[in-house]
Amino acid sequence: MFVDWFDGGRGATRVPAVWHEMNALLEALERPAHVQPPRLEFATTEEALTLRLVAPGVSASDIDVSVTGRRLEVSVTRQAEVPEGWRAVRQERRQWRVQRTLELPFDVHADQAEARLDRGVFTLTLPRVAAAEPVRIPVTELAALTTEQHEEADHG
Amino acid sequence: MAETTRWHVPAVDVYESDHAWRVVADLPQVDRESLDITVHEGVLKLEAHTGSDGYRRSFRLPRGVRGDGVQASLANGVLTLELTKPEEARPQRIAIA
Repeated sequence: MFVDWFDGGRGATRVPAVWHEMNALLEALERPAHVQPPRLEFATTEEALTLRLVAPGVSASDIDVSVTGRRLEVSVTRQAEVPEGWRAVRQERRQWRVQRTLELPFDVHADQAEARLDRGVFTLTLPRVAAAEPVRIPVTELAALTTEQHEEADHG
Repeated sequence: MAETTRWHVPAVDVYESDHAWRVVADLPQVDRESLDITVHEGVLKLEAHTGSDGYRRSFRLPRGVRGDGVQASLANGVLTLELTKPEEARPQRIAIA
């Protein structure tokens, strides 16, 4: 169980146990499952299309979303850089990029889209354009219109 | 708690400087309130809950590291811990006579 002092990269050089302690790397007691890039999840309702991506460590500037007609383009990049002034001892948090272009199943109000980043989870909501319903056009009689115009002229 | 928790092992980076270690863990959707960080008998333990999911990870610490030297911050679903190195783990400058 108490393995995994060096997680590769440093070769198989044998170092005395005391040196390990002095050099003092943190020993992991469990290991994560192979870390895969997250998957984009889609859901549609009567009102909207929702997209969700678990993206810890991603900031707004790492996300690019655009809608052109029914075409949605999404690109999310996660950086995994060694912070300045630090040396990497263990790096499990992977760098990844999720990029998708897809055809939306219905028209959306792109100008009313809501994109949020909350505790490392990105969600995008695209409100659906309501299905076309018949619109009744009122008919104005020419005579009535003429009368109103006369009245307006009188008051003016 | 009747609900069963699905436990995950979060991905963690460990960085080192001359004076400290930095532990960075992916904990998406985790709130400050549902996060538990403990140092006990030389083991650093992280535990967090988000609904029916939970995250757990522990590390054996080098001798001399104490819990009161740990600083924690949570942002964008990422936890960053900084542990001050004990004096004996810091590089010593050797004066040349």
